Amino acid sequence: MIHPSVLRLELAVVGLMLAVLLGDAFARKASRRYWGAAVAAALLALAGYAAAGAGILPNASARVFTAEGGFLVDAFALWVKVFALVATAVCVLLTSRTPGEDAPGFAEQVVLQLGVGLGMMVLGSARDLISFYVSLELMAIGLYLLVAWRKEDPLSLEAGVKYLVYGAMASAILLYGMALVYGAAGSLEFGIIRQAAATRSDSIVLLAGFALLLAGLGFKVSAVPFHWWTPDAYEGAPVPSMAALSLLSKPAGFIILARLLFDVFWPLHAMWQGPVAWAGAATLLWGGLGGLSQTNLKRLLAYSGISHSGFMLLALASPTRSGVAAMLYYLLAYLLSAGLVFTAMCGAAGPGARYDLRDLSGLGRKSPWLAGALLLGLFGLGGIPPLAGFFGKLLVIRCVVSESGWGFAAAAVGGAVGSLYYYLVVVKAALSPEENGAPPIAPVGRSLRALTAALAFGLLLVGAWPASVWGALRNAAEALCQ
Amino acid sequence: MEAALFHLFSFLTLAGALLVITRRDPVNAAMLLVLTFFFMAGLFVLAHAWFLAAAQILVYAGAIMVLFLFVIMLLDAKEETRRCFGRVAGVGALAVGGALLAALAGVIRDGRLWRVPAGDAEGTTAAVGRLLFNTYLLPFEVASVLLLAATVGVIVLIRAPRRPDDAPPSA
Amino acid sequence: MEPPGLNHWLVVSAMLFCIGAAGVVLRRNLLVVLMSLEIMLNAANLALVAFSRYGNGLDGQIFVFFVITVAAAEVAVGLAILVALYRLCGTVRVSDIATLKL
Repeated sequence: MIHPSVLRLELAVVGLMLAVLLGDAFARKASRRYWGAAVAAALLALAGYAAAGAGILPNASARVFTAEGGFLVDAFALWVKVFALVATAVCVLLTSRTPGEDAPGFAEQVVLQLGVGLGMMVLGSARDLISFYVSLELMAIGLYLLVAWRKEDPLSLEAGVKYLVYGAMASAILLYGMALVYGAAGSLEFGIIRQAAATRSDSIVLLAGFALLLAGLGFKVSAVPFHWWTPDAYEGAPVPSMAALSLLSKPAGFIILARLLFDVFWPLHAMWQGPVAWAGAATLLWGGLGGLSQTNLKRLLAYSGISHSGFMLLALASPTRSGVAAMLYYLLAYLLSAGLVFTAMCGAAGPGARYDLRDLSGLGRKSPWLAGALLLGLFGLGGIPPLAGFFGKLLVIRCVVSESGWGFAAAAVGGAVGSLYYYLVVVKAALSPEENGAPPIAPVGRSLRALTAALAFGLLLVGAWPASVWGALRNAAEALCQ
Repeated sequence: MEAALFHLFSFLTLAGALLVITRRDPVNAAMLLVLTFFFMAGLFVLAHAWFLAAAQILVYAGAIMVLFLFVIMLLDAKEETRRCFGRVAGVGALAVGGALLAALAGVIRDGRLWRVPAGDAEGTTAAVGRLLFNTYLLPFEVASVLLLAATVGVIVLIRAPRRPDDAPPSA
Repeated sequence: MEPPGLNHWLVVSAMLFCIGAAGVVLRRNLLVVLMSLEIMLNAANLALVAFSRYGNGLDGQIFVFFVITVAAAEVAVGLAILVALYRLCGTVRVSDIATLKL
């Protein structure tokens, strides 16, 4: 039997889901003003508990399995859980601003976000292909619904349809890869698949399965050439769902990619290193150049997300522990900076806003608080020192220079400069004098202020003093590469 | 006998699937897909996956396809009048098809696969259930959360739009 | 006739997968696209069942059971979005709703 104490974090999130659902059925309208803040506070408390080890791991290098071995908790998995809990809390807080706690469907939206977060938490611990598939699909199905959530807006529904069709196709490709891997290894369990990869690396079935797995995951992390859905899905999705796409779905893709590349298929690392590096460079350049001509903030952020995916792929392409640790640091920096940008976007416009760049005009005068958050977030994404994004890019480029060569490093710098340019275009738009037709701004609530302050503090802390998290990230990377 | 049945069911499955993606009328396509799933259940029986053969018919043909037909009726979907193949779609189809054909050729040429003996796994309900509720209990529970999330989301999405001043039912 | 081997099963499953993929890429009617996605998932199921038959134990069949569950949820979600879209735009054809650039 599974010992429930290993699953206490996941069980707590399921409990929270049920509590929100039941509360929605029975609570009076006046009492739901602080629901978003309450759920987010509970998630952050869980994240703190998980960061302290959650009473599951005796020390950083321990590995705790359930009796059947299908679920593993190690330092890496715990780090994933902390990340998922924090990112879900950000999404829930954004939802409580737009569409707001009294909008119809608010509780259900929060339930779906919790489900997506839960999917990522299970994914970090998955030790067999079934847990991997089911948790990934839990995230995907929640996100299909969240992207299409604004059912009165054709753009949102179309984005949902497109994301669903492409996402389901990617899932099918992934699943076929899993079937081939299962056939070649004779088992669904990651440990046995690793042995098969070591001893039977000439099996064409195994290699074909591995290639299909990488293609399916390439879609999830929007890597070139599987990136084309990203701008459409981001443009149509409401901002909290966009946040869930980039703060939960994409990191989850990188987490399981790291697990597959550095643990399960580690014996094949000479084979995957090259393709991953090339895909990373192409993704980086595509994201850096494609965003240059955009006039819509959401599409622009989609290209920015693609370019960040390229950076993280390049980090993974250096088959060392520093590569994994750099990827984890980069993910953290991305969570903090992109979280700030999404917060500013939620504050600056109502639920139906299109976020064209000219709608941002006059933001600096109308709400210095939001403009500051936007600026800080964009500088974090662009990698301006001393924010965390700078150190993240530095770490990745250091790995790239030592493992992949100067050509890839040049591509990384080029992509970074391209994206920096379009962040500055956004900054210029936000600081320009107000044009006619720019929407008015509702006052910024307390929970949004607290979120902004916390994210900004984290961004500065992690950037100026990387040692504060580096030890934990290093432990996570060590746990992964055993 | 087994070989003949395998070839028959394989042929019918593939032919059914081909017809599904070429029929213009979605109702025809759906009914052909039901047939395809039946033939596939036949293949499952040949593979000694007894429980899955039943699940295939009950869940796919019985539940999923009924849902499809129901929605087709609801939407009053008409026949497609024209087929347009976009350039992107064409290139994508060529790339996907090429990659898959290459993989297929690899599978066929891999001589070791010809000699793999059939195992003795019998997919009876008891055996499948024992494995499902012991080794794979955790993903089973995750799947239940998945179904809950899907149900909640789908209900919100297709609920008739409410007026904003509508108060939620209070206790 | 000699009994079918593992490679026969894999060839059928791969062909089925190609048919499904072609349907997803080429068809414009979203209902048929969803059906084609089901064909792709079933191709993977067939491969799993075949591997399970040829010496890999029952785990593959359990996997198929999970895939069927997930596919049901996926279809329900997809059809719900289509119904909502149809209510708003009166169509389920890709070419009619392509406001978003492809």
